[in-house]
Amino acid sequence: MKKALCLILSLVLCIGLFAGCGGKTEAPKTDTPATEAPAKEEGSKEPVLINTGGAVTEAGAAETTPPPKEAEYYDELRMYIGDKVAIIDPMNPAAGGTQLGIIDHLAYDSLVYYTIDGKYEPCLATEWSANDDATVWTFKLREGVKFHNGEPFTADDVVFTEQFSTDKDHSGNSVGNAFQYVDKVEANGDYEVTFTLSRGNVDFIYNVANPCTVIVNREAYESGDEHAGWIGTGPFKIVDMVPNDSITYEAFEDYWGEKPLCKKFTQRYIAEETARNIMLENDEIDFCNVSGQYIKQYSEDPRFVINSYVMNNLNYVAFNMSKPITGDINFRLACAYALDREEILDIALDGYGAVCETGAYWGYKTAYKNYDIPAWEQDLDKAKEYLAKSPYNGEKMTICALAMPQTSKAAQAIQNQLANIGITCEIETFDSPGMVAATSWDANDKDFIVTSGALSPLGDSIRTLVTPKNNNNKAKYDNPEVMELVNKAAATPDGPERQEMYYKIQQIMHDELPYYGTFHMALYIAGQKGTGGTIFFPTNFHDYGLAYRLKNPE
Amino acid sequence: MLRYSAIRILLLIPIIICVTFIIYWLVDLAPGTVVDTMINEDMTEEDIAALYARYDLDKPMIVRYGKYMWGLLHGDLGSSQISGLTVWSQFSSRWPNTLWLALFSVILGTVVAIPLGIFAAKHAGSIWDNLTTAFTMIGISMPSFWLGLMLLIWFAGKLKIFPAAYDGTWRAFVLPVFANGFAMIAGICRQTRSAILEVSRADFLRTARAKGVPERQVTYRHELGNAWIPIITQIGALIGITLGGSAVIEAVYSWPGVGYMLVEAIQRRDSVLACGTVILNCIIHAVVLLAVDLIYAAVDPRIKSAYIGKKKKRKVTA
Repeated sequence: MKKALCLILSLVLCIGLFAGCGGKTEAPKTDTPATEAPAKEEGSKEPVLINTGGAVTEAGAAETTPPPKEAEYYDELRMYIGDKVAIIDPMNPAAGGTQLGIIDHLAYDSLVYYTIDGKYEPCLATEWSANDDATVWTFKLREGVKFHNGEPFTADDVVFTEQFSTDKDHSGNSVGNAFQYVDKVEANGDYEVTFTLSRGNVDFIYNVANPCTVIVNREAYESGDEHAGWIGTGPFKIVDMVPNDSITYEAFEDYWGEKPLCKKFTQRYIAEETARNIMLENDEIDFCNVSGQYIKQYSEDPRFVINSYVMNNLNYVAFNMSKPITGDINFRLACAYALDREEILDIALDGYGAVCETGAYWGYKTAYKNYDIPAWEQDLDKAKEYLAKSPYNGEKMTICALAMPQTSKAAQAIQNQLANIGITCEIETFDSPGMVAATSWDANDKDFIVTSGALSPLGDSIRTLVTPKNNNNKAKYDNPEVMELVNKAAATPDGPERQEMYYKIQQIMHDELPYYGTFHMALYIAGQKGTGGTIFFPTNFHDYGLAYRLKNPE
Repeated sequence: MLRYSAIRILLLIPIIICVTFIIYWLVDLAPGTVVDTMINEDMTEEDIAALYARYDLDKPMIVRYGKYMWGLLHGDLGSSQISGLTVWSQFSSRWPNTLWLALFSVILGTVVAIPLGIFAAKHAGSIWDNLTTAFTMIGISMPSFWLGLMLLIWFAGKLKIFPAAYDGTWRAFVLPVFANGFAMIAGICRQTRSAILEVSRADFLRTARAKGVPERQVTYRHELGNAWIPIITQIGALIGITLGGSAVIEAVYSWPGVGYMLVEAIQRRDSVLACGTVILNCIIHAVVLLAVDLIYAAVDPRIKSAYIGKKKKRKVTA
């Protein structure tokens, strides 16, 4: 009797244990939203744009004011780096990630500097010009620039950088991406280079101004230097690196530009959010990313200054156009009318971000955004009407989501909102490599993909989302008219003609609805009081080159 | 004894083959590859194909595994597919941190747990025993990440006594050692208590007491002396496990150890670094278990005589 009782109890416990281990999330079968949005506080919808160190620019990015003259600064600055860095080498595809832009701003230079207000300023190149059809670009280079290994910077280094980065043995690195359409690069003496492109591209100047398009030293690479990838011309030189943990820089005394205000700079990756918050509070780090839930606490604390900005990237739902149900426009319209972007933002980020303002897929402040395209507003009656016209017959759909807190929560909100009109979905989450593999052009058999898409300030950044076979085209969208417009716009100089093309692209994408934009994430970086000098870009490629911390902030 | 040790070391070969195959297979089975961690929106199809070819991902898993094992046969643990650094250099730069964390944790666990276990056994059934049992139950059931976070919040955040992340100083050891050691205290304490209780009914203890041997000597020399085997087994297993790295504690305290490195390698589908780390962990674990076996013989004359007895028997047979 006792044995039987024990056996039954053990079985019940085991069943209970396994019941809690379900891998897939099922939508509750109800007509009412199962997940309620968090209570909205007054003003919580808009990101807290405080930035006590300076002004907030129109680009949605924060730029700090210059420090007072004659001020005393700390010799060392310490910052939390937002992701693990396993390797520093611009020529290695494994050295990707958004942190790359921050490292590149510190240790390297590009030919041109892209400013926070969207202008191009001289950097390693002092002048540049293009021919009429934007196929030949000539850059005059700065003289007297030195690499961290003491080598002088010349046109030969630019030629080497282009050739090495586009060589198929080094394919996929971040520098080579900028030179994809370069047919030929020639040095005209020591201080001039000419790039000949295979097709006209008026945005080539942005490509070479991208902080990731750095110029490396031929001598360092060809000598087989173990740390060749560390050698740049930037304001700081890399002196030490512990993979996935920390990077240490020292100010470069021979830097050609404005000298750094600190002597040493340390970046550290701290996996645990609690630990990094404590480090910030204990003054163990000077700059640290803070999540939305803590922003109120830190913004009210006089020990800190808060820098905030809205990321240009867009979180979105991609409808798989190659599948019979999601490929049907009525079904997609039904989904668009069923979804509520504000609620999705509330659930995903507690409201800390900006909802997608238009009904087309475009970056937060990407050029040529057509604000006349109305955003999709929730209308359940309309949604049900369109659903009735679609081929959907109660099939279980799959939402594929990136296993990050905001995208997973957004996927749950979408699942619940779709359940309101009778669409049942299950969520499958993947880590980053899993997501890339599961949603590549050939492997993608999911119905919806919920993730975030990288967008630059250029209109051309829509290209990868609409190019067939591109890994970023999660909707498997294939419209030759859009592709033709994208190519034409890339070769058209800025002006009304170009604007018309980009507006038309957005209109087509609104009408065909391969992507439904949900929200742009807001990011917050807390600094110790007296810190400043950092330029926060909406692309996350922040420039800490002139960062400082005042010893006496009062 | 030497022969026994040699056999134990030779047994590592099939273990390593099995474990590396399982790791390689599991990493291959997981969705995504090391190339998928590098793909960005600007890459062309050709770029991606070239990357797949560079990492041999266009070849079947068994071919890649064979290539890796061939390298291993020549003493080459390989290089990380992400950083390009050799597995040995990455492991050896991080392992000392893991070693110190493990050693201090085990020392803390042993020093606290053994007297506590003896105390509980000596007061079996009393309120003190129940309190100790409750304490050990809390220690066993408390998740280490939760304890780690609580210690972090209180001692680094509120009291500001210790740093929140590894900074190379002795103060950085305190919280992770305690968080790691707490569960050990519970485990070793329970083992000590039950081992002592098991021995306490033995006739030789009654004889010792009847002969007037002081109680302290009875406890520490005769009782504990005969209860060491299960305690050493427990401590040995814990040393083996912690030397392999404690990924959770390392992540909470930003501790640059091998446990978190292994997790990172698997997350980024770096099968070479993952396999190399597992192989080195396997060897360390096997060495620790062998050392435990040797210590058995040192602390228990019966086991020593069993080894010697076997040797003599073989000589007689010859």
